[in-house]
Amino acid sequence: MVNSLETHLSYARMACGLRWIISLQCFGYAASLAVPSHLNSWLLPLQGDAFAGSVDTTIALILWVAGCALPFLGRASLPASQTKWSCPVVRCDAALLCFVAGWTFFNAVLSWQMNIEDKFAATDPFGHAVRFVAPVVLLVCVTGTGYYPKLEGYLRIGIASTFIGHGLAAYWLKPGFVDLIVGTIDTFLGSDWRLAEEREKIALLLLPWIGRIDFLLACLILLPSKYRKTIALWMGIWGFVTATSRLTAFGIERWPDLIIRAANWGIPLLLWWEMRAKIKSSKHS
Amino acid sequence: MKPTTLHLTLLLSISLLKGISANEKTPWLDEKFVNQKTVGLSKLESSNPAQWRVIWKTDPANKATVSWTTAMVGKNHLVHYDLKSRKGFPKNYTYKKVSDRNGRFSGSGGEHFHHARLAELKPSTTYWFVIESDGLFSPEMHFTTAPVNDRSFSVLFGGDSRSGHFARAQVNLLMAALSEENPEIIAFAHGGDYISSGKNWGQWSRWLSQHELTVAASGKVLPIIPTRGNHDGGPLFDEIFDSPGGKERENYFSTRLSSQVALVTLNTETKAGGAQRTWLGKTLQSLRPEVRWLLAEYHRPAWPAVKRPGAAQEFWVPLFEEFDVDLVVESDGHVIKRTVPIRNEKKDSTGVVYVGEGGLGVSQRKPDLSRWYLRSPGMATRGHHVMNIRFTPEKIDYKVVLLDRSIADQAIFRPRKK
Repeated sequence: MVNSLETHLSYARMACGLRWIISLQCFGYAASLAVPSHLNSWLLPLQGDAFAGSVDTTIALILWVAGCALPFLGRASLPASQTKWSCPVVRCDAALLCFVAGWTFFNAVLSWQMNIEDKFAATDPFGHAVRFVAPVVLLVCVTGTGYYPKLEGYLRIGIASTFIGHGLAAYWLKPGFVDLIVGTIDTFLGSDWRLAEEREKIALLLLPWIGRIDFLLACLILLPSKYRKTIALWMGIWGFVTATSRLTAFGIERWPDLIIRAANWGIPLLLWWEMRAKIKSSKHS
Repeated sequence: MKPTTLHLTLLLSISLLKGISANEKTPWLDEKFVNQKTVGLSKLESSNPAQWRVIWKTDPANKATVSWTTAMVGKNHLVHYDLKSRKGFPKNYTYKKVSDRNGRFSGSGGEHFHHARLAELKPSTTYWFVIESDGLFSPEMHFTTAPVNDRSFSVLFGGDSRSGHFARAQVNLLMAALSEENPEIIAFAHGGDYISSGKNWGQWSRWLSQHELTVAASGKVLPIIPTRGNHDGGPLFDEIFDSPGGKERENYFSTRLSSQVALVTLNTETKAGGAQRTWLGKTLQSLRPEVRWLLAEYHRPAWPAVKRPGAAQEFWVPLFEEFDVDLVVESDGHVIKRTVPIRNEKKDSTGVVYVGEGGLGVSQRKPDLSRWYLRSPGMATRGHHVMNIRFTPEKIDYKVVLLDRSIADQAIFRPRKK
């Protein structure tokens, strides 16, 4: 009985956390569609600007709606054990989650395919993994069909993939990452083009180590360990730091880059929160 | 007065004549003409030299690279050249230069590149040349080296020829016509995104063959100053343009176009904020006191008309403003744009103007006219185009020429007060 209640609470906490994270992510993706998407670049020569632009606008609109609606649809459709598929709210919830998962996955694949000559773009389907895994997991939560440890496992696989993707790009010295480090140093220490070459050298020194640590964290979050909670917290903080570096390097106008990556840092923090809650409740009981 | 039959006949004749002359001036608007020209391109077979190009890098007054492709490896690859036309008879040319760099194009079916680096050329001088590979010859062509004095000249600028192969052929034919009519046009600076996938040899091969359409009927070749775009990743760019900038994949360099004009080509596809920024600072610092007209070109825009700003805005724009760059040419957005003069992220009459965004064949987009830097006296529109930029001691004369030869935009820039 206690276990069943605990599982139910875990479900509820996870679903609630996922909803807010995915909602944030939707706002980020929607805001980023103010400029042409990878899909737009693909459609442009085939269908022309008007059609490609209207596809972007439609997707942005759906994502804005999803971002606003998902937290409230959650309230209406919980608890998962009582989910009724005939209910329009549940259907709407599921449809929006499918769309978000589909778009984030498709976007990652297109980012790679539209820049097929770029080895860094090839890491995108891995680097973006947690962004499309999160809505799928929530969808399973909504249906109430998932076995909780399995769902947590899927999230951990998603996080690990994201860290492997980013770790590979860092290890290969992705130019964009060098610019993030140099730009961030500029913000805190002052911009000086005379020192830029030296700052690049620092970035080139740091990145392989960042890559190695990312690989290590990816492995550790997958393996059973008593430190998993700490690792999840570390990944959450590091994910937030790296997402925020878009703003520290290029300015506040890059805010969509931070929240588009809400899952990168939000999901590890959610897992940490959940593990913490479990430990607390087991101590009480 | 009522129109008589004579009046009507005259009107009809005039309109017919107008139609004919318009067609003569813009034959590339006729699909048949373009297809005919495309079919007539040099065949890439055996050792036949094809896909000719002349490349300018740092010192175009004294150096130029003549490059071409053969379908097989071959043995003897050289350029015969002279200060006079020798009607294509190889033995009559005074100079010859054996190819300095040969190799198989990455991912190709055996096609090879050849680069003959001509040096010790005379400034402002027309060189006539034929290319030889294993006893097979190209037609005679010619190009003119950059001046070292302060004479007026023009350079064509443009970017994004990656898709829309028919429109690309049309713009190439327009460039050939402009170059033929105007001896002042001496080069063509391509702002990047030549093709859609930088590792795809088939796409590059098509681009290279179509580049032949920029050669005028008289054999005048426009040396190309290449910029790397986001679709031009991979080793082929360096194999095709003989590694401009020296270091493989780095591809940033400055070109001294005359005693008073310098063009700095940057690479947005590599690290922008580090070594490249220091190099840019040093280069602008040394060039600014020496030249009247200082320009920069790169692919991803700092002040885009469609997309969001690239790293150039954070790392390079402060340098353009510090060293008072006169004009910056950007690509990538698939529109036509000219910003207001910008300094400290505001409209400022002492600021830097950014033009371009790419229309050498790629499908055009609708620009976002709500962006503050595109409002009057800035502008943005769409259309396949090439920019003709003329440098004189008094002014830079900037014109955007559309396929029908109409002018989509023009502006004059005066020298900055010292």
